[in-house]
Amino acid sequence: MEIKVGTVGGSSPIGRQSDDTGLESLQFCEEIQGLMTIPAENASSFTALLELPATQALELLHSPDSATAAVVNDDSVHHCIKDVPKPYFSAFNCNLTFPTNSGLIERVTKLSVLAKEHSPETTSSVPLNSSVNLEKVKNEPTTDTDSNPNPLQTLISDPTVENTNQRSAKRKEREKKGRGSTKKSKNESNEDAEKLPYVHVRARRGQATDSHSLAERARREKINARMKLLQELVPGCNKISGTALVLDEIINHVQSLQRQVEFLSMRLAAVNPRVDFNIESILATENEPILESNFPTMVSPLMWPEIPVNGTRQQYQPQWHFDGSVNHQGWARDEHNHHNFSPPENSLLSYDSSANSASLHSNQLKMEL
Amino acid sequence: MANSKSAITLLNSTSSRLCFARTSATFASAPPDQLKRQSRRIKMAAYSSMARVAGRRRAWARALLFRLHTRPRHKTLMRRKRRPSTSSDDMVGKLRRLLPGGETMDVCTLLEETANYIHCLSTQVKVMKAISNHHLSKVN
Repeated sequence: MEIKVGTVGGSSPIGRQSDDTGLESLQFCEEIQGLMTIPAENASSFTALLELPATQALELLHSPDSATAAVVNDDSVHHCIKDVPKPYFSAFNCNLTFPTNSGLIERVTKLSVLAKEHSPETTSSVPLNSSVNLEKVKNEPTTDTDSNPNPLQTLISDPTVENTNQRSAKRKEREKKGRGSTKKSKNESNEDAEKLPYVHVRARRGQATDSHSLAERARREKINARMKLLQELVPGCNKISGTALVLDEIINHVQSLQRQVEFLSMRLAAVNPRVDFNIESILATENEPILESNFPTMVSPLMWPEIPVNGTRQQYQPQWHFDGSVNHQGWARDEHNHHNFSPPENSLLSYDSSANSASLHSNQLKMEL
Repeated sequence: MANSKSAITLLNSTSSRLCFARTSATFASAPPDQLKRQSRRIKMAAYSSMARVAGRRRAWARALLFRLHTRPRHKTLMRRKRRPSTSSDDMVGKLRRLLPGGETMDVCTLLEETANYIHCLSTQVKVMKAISNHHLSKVN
């Protein structure tokens, strides 16, 4: 749960929606009324905020240049607002009984509205009826940077510890606080159920959890899997460790195979072409099995575009021996587009018969297999 | 069964095309340039049949067929006119240049296609070895 919250929340700019807060403040007041059931036992952060000099607090709450400070303040402000008892909020906009200026409270409302505003777009899987509590749960782990050491932040968590510690401390604090409200725990479990199909990559403790890191880790795992498959494919490559050596071996293997094809084509060209060959005899005289290699991803093979019916095989079979003495122009012309055989001439009949007999023999072989 | 079927189809088409390519040339007492041209034709036929058997879904097969059909036929099959200058020093760049159509792939696709290409090439080598052994045994 924490992973995704950290990923989506950590990468969103906070202070960019400071224009439409006036409209949201009204809605905010209504939602604050729904929040009042939470017991106020952790009001120390708010008092800490109030204990600051007013100028410093305002500066902290303002600071648009550093988003982290805004997040931290936002978080603390959430605590504050949640923990302030109801009578203070009934007199929210007029005169407050707190010993502070009203500008600070306005900042507080603005920031909380901002937090409520930016959370649905960062976590798109949230249902629309989620309350402020859920959004607060989502917003809290966004305080994952420690670039702003201030006394306000030390109340919430230590600014110098790493991300996960901070988040665990936060979670502890939240659990301690949310014992009374069953609503929050229900929201959390709901969130857990929703997050499950989204998190495909697990981040261990200490690993980065933003989305780029997760994607990069997934890509690396994919590459490693492919590399392992290739390592099984290339002979003598199992014992080698190291990506560069394995790649070198793969490259050598592919090069040797291509050279072998070249050499074999030269050898076949040197062979007397008048020799008739029969596929059955080839397969009979074959020492090593051709079919031992498996094709796990090979698509269904392309059959011959046109194969004469089986009854014509015996008729064309005597012309099989005229392979070497057929009309050269016809062969040379058809060689360059040998994927479409549309033979008007007589000389192609022997070719078709050869293909036909070959396929028939292969069918026989398949039956034997 | 599908594996054997595809191998047989490859064998089928390769043998037919090799026979086809051989018959276009003259006999065994040919001058060396004709022999060279003939071997080039055989190689073209072999690669074309291999790419066709591998299917259009494979990127290397598509690239190979495209190269075979767009190249003028007096050019050598596997020679490239212009090597891509980018990423030529590392291993992935080498593999990229080795695989047909590998210049435009990312690394994951490149490795996957390389696996399939090695499969097909090894089968092709076996088929051509079988055919040439058969011919040599017939001649001798």
